[in-house]
Amino acid sequence: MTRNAKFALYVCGIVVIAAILLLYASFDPAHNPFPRCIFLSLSGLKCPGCGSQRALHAIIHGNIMQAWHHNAALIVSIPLLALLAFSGVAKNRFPTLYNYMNGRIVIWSVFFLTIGWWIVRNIFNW
Amino acid sequence: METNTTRYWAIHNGMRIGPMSIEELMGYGINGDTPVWRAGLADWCAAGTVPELASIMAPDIPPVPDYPPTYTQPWQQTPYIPEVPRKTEPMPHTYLVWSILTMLFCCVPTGIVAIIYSSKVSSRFSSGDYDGAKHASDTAALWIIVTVVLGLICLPFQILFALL
Repeated sequence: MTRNAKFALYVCGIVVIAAILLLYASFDPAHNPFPRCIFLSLSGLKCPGCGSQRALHAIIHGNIMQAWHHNAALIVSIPLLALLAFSGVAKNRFPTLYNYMNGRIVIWSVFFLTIGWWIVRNIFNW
Repeated sequence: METNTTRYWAIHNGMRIGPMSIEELMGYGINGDTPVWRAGLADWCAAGTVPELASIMAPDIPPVPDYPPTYTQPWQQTPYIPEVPRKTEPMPHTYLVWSILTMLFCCVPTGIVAIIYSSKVSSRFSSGDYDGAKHASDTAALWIIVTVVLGLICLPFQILFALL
């Protein structure tokens, strides 16, 4: 990718992220017609991502406890995603970190924690 | 000219050769360390120390080595293509960040499939199967795109469910 294309991509990414943050900051998904999970609507069971939109709204307003209540997996994911993104950007400087973060241990942990979270949250109604 | 008439002797391959002209002496391929003698010198001298010889000898050409020379980059007709990928080949993308993000926000559980392929990228890469890792990486990317597209297709229905 050329330098200009990369720059344009970064600018687009920042604009989209800013728009999403502004949207979720302005409206509470709990009281507005935001997309509702199809899996939940059809089966009555929560998917691993259910509550992410309400949690995002709560985080932007600094209410971490409420966000945790809506979707604890999202709160846990934020530091993990930040570390993953950092390891990707600083791949050449910290190759060991990148290989570990994209290695089998981390990926299978994410997989089984997600499946486990999916099951457990429906049993205990988290 | 005086230089043309000067006769030289040299010790070449352990043998005394001469008398000869300066051109003939050069024809033997002597170097700066070859002992030479001409009229006017008290004893054998290294050729490099005799002014008229030093000035015409190229000092940088190395002597013929006793061993066959080794070349770091042998010339060949076709560019060198290694049979096995080098160890330093970078690992293909696992797209783990995008797998997690699509799973949290698209509400379509196909993101799980992307995670399975993400793990195949690293396991195949660590076992040296670079092509397999690249294929798993592309498949993971494909499943992320599938998840996003399914999420976008479902979006109107999702909003409809919210309005009901």
